Amino acid sequence: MYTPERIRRVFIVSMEMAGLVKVGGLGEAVRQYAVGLARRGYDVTVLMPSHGRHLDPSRGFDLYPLDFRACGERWGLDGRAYPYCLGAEMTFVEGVRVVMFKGLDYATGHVFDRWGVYEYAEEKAALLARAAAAFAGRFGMPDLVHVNDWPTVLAGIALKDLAERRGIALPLLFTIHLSWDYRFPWHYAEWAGLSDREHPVWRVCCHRREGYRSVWDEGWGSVERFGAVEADAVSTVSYGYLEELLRKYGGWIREKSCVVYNSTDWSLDDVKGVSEGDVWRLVEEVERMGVAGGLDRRGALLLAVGRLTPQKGFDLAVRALDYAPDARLLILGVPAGDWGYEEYLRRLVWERGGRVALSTARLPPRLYKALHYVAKALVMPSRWEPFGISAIEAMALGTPVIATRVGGLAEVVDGYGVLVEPEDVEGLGRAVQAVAAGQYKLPPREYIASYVDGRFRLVHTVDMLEKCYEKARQFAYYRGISG
Amino acid sequence: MFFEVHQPRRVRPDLYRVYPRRPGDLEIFYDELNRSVFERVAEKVYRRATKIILEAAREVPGFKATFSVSGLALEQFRRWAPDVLELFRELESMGAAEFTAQTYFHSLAWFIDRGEFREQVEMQVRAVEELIGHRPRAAENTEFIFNNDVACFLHSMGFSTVVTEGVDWVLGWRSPNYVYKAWGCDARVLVRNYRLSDDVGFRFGARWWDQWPLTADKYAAWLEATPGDLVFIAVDYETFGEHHWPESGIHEFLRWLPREVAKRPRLRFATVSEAASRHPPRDVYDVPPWATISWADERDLSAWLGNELQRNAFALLSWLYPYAKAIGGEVLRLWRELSTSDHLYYQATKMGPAGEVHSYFSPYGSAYKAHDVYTAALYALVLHIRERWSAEAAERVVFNDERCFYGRGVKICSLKDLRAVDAGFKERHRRDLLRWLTDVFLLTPAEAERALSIR
Repeated sequence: MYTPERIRRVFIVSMEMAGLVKVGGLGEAVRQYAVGLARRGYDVTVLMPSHGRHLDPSRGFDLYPLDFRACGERWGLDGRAYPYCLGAEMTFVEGVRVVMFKGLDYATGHVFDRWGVYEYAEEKAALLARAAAAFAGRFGMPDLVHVNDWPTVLAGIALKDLAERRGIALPLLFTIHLSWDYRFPWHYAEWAGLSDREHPVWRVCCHRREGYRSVWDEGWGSVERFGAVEADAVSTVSYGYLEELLRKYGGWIREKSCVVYNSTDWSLDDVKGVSEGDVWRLVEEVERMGVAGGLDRRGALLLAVGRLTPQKGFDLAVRALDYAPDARLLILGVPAGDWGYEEYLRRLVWERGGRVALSTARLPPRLYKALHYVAKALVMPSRWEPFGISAIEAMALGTPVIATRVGGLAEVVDGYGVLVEPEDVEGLGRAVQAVAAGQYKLPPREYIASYVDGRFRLVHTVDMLEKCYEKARQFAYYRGISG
Repeated sequence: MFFEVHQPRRVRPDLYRVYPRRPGDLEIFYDELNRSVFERVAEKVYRRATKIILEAAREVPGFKATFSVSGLALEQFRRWAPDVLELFRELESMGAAEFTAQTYFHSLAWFIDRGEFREQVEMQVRAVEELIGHRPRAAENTEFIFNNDVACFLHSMGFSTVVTEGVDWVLGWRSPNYVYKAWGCDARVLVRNYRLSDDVGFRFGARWWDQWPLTADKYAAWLEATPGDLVFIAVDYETFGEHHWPESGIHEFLRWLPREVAKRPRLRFATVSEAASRHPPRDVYDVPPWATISWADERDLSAWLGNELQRNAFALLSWLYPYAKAIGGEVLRLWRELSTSDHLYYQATKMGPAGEVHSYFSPYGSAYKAHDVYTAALYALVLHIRERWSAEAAERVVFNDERCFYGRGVKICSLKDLRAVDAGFKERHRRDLLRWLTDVFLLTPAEAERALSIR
């Protein structure tokens, strides 16, 4: 098989991309990859579902219909044919071509064009695989395919399979931003367009010929594991999280693994004119937009930000206040539909009214950044955290982070904050109190900001990504010569 | 074996006809229906099944069972079927039955106020002691609603054992057939084996089931073949004659099961407290408070708080609690009767098998009708609060939410808090405080002025 000698043309497959459709950190990371690569001269195409945005006249960006149709039938376990018909529209974002697939008939659009990005994620993922393979068939193969998280795995493998059948060992990089354990029977892979075929699969030392189905079934239908085995290289967002993935899928992946840090464009320039004395005035601006609980303007302000889910551990931060009399906590939360958790958190907040406030308002970026700047520290008591983009955002403004020692947080915070054990409310409380009362000597603001400049900027992300692409290309080369 | 005994006090569907007059107790609650339902169930279930159990207790050595009877059910037993209470007392005196604690009103009080939850559990404990002569040592929250905090709170109230659902996602690879320990305290946790329980509770009469008909010897053989230290079978008591009609053979099943179990040396009966003390806890049953479980539907709270109708109704109920609590007496009693979980259960808009179960229990025909009826009842509560409100009640009310007054580092949640605030603060915020006192504490302008001037 032929293997590309140089990576110039890249397909990045994703469910979201910041600026177009974004739910969480994944969209931000994908945009960083795409824009960073495009700036270095790569020909980058992002393939993603439209999620109905092509139907929204006020979506905020232009879309141009593409001369593309992918229509056919899928066979259900009931023996019946289920037709689908997909089209595509295109836009450009900072030199990146973005192709958004859409449904062309009611049955397809009814599911594929759902506004909620992860609504019917399984079906969207299966249709995305069909669309991506048809798109490559129509417009040509790239030099590398980069898939992101489990919903894009089947699309990546469909492209790799198509290329292999044409005699090309197309490098496939699978980035796991957040690990999921979605499992389906083999029929699901067929539903997405994959058929059982012998092909080279990397096994510890070398490639062996195996059927897709056997690889699928050995992982009990876990889509993510299937992707980890089938991809030429597997990357994630921190070394800490990589270790967690290796424990999950086996150390044999280490050889073909790599890490790409996320980055931030926040800088001290963004908060020029803001001073630490503005703290309660800024809090008042938030309170005017409505908060649960309240802050009594005593002690030091600490900040916690993120989606209101158990993952982020806001409940631990609120309970930690019982051990931190000098701390006042402002939580800037994004509702994520977890009603039970939100109610629980609100109850904890009201129980400690005066010392903690919870805002779910959409704050203007200026205020949001200013609050990060004036806060004594950002509290990130996450229960699991692959990377922790909020940590580097705060640190880019020179604000230290008090975080739990999970996933990527330990290496991201490094020595520029305080690390505590996960779920240790008392330990967290003591750390918060030490920072609030000034007992813990923190590095100077400029020092923390320059640490971010040296490690978590777009240039670093793209450098690391290029290394991963090269690793994927090398493993694809081994596959090509052994297949 | 564990039997859940509860009957709600259903609200009258045409309650709105009374408005704008304030409805009385009998105009709010549909006691003709409540009585007829209770008497029917008493005849078909409570009397007959309890007699069968009593007979088994006399004839089968070591036979024991556990009952959890809500306070509302106990009240209705006392009014309309006191002879069944006599049967319960006899079972208790023979040592053949344990009675557990639960919320008196079979309510969702846990999610509203911990003090209220404690009071409702204590009321039920007193009622069980008074009417049956048993002091509960084990407890459940309404409908097996459970999380780490519930377990530890009940443990702090003196209950050594807490029972709940054996939920797959909590258990993971572990078996429900062992004693567990609560996360964060020493409460022992018994978890229901829902598969074997549902064989009796749901599938017993299902002709499509490949195991139909379920006989006592077959079921006892399954129990014998089940690995583990114990099998916790928990069902609604109404299973025996109401959910499955007597013609289904359910009474014969109940009659013969103790005898079939007694034939098998590996098996013996125990009450929940006995089972929990007899076996060591094997692991921790960890249910975080934001992922609270129950035994209904999807084993979460969606049966009662799964849609906007339910959540909005529940939010209003919670909002009115401090006022009802401050007034006390009949108003608090009305609030408590409206806190019964069944009122919210009827408002579920679920489809499929879960939806069918909700419809089966609902006397209103649709979730929307149930919501209308419940909202009308809450409106009756508002009228009662308005009518009975007084400056003395305002003195007793304490808030713990956004109704507190926050200003410049000061938090005021009651009139007592207000008195402790310095005069300068009161003067600076005089207008806001006066409005707060009239809007939130429902004081007249004169009373508000007076409250503000008192130190």
